Amino acid sequence: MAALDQKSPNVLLQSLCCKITGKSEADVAHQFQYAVRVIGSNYAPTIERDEFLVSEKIKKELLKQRREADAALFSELHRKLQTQGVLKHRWSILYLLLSLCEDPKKPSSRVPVCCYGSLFAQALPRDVHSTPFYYARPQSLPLSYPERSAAAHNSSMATSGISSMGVFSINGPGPTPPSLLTGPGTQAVGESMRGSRLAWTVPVSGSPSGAAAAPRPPGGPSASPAPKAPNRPRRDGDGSAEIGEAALVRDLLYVFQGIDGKFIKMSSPENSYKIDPKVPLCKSLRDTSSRLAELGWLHNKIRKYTDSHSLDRAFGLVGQSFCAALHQELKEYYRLLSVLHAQIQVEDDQGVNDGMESSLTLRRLLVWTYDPKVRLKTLAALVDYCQGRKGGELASAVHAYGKTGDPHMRALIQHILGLVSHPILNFLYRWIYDGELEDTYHEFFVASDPTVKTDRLWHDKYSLRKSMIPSFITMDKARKVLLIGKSINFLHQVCHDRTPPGKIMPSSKSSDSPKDATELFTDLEGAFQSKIDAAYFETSKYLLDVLNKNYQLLEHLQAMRRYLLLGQGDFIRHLMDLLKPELVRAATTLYQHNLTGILETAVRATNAQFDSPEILKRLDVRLLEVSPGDTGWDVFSLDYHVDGPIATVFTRECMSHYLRVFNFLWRAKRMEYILTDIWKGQMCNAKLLKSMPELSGVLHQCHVLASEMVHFIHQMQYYITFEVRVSISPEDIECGISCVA
Amino acid sequence: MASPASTNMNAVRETMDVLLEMSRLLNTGLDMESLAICVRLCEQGINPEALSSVIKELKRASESLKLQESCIT
Repeated sequence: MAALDQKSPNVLLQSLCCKITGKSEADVAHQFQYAVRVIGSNYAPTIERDEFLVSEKIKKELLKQRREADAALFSELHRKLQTQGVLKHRWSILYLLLSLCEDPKKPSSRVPVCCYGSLFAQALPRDVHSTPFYYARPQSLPLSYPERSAAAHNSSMATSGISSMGVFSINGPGPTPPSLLTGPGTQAVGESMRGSRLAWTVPVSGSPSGAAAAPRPPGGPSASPAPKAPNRPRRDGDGSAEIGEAALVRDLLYVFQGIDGKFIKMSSPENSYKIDPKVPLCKSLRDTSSRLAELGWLHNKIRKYTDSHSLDRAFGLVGQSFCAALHQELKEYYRLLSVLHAQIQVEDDQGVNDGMESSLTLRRLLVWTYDPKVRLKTLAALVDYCQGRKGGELASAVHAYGKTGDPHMRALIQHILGLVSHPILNFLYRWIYDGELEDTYHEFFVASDPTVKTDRLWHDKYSLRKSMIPSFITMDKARKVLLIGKSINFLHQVCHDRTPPGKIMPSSKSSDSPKDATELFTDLEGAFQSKIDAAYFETSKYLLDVLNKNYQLLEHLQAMRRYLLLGQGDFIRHLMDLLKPELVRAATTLYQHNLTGILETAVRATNAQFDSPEILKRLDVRLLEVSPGDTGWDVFSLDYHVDGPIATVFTRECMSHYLRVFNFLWRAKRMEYILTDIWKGQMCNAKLLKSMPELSGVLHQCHVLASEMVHFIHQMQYYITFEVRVSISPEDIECGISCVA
Repeated sequence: MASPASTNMNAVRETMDVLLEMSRLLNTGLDMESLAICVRLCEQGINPEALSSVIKELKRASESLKLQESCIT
């Protein structure tokens, strides 16, 4: 043994050849030359020199053959080998053994591509009349181990049928190779029979002819259909030998993520995934791949939307939650992709030992990606529909999309809707319970106008942004919501009442979470409505209470009635009497302070002095605009000051209405008094002037005229007092207040 | 001198036994002599991939030759 160690590799090779073939040295010259050439050209190994990996592979191999005991035995042996440390290149030996390993169940070993047959041919080259070109792939020396096995597998499948048929055609039904219908073992027979396989000399781009030649052989030699049939479908499954299904599947996995594959690329002008037309593919594969590539297109669309909008800060909370929901869906999709990828990896590791087809065919992909495709389609359509919307609009769009009969789609949309409307509901609850509005991106349907001061808070500051009202909240509810928040703000700012919302609302604020939002939609009518109604009722009641108690709203209303609407008769009478001498002067000579003094005198002299000082101090004289030629009567008016919350109720327009009414009533009253005086004078004078019969006709006319006027005034006053409800009762006021609030 | 050599020989023999056992497990079809040659080749640094392909080809050729002979005869 020691002597042998020094032998050169050549010698060793030669002795190996002799040993294996069992021939003498002279006969194996051919093989020896070949061996030398192969070894010489393939000097460096192309795989990892990892002993551990190789031993793992061996074990896996054994396990696959269900020989667990043998696997354990192998581990033992390997361990022993490692301890012995005689060998320097253990991995090399192990790899050799692995590659020479044969499954005892298989009828024959996996023989590499038959191109070598051409070199070993002993028989004369027979013309290959049926299929010269079915190895479109040039059979270079084997590269990495799995690739080679895949190549061997692919092409061997392609050839087995042909070679078997070839065998038949040449030799008749003579020797029936045992594995005619199966394994590549038939190749051995076929090759030797046929001799020169032109595959070695076939040019690389033989694919078109390969595809053309493929249908030819079945028509060629009339082999029995039995070997034909099982082989044909397999060939179609492979497509042309150039692009195997496995390669397509790999490509598609990239396309699913939006990355261009080797054969399937995104063509921007048409905005679709196109299979490179130069690539040789049979039509069915091409179609199937196109169908699967749609998934990549959908994914790209959704991805583009989320990417562009997730960085857009001005998109608002609702939009961002929408993007987050889409992202979640995409994550699920990626998970599926990684599972598929892992499947392919597993096969790679195990080599394509088992089975004719890899377990990940295009058909399987079609089936597995059907559900994700439907989901992605829905999402892509949703994305399209929601382009350019934000805030409540976006929520409305998503909600509109949920009105479909398909339960899966509906569930998906509901889920997204829950997530999307969560910010809106957040806003809502904060607005209802706290009166706070923190809406930087203008997404909520209540808008606040920051330029408005507190005196106009109730009317102008808060408004509804109609475009942002989601479609699942009716206009009515939206108005109520607005009112609630407005009331709270009003209480806080104008009434200076900072009671915490907990006191106002006995019901506590519910913890809001996204789950809350989704539950909301299952019971939109019930729970949500009741919440809003409860909040509305409580807040309004509290507001009214505050207004009435703290600010005596009702009293002010009454006071208005008494003074501005001439309800307090004695005071008005007295005031008029006192003002008569003053107001006959020209308007320009009137001074406000004089008139105010008179007013106060009148107040003190009548029942008005028993009113609360709060009211009395608001009573004032107001001089209207002076036009030339006016007397005092034209410019005089009473006024009632209001401020604070009462001013919100009695707005300026309201007050001006009151003043106009006052004016009208005042003048009517004045006319009445004047007429009464005239009548008084007439009555008195009638007695005195009885002695002057010349005047009786004139006097009679005057009487009649005066009576008519009095009558007219009386009718009008009756009308004003009773028909036009100027003086309203307190109960009516109560009803009116709720309307006002 | 003899003992280290003999221990060496023992170790070598043991290794070869282990390898033969492995090869039998994996059903490679190599007998002792071929295996020994292969081991030597590998130890000299030959690429095992190439070697294995050569061996496979040799086997196949020998089989086909045998079959041919059996056919002809």
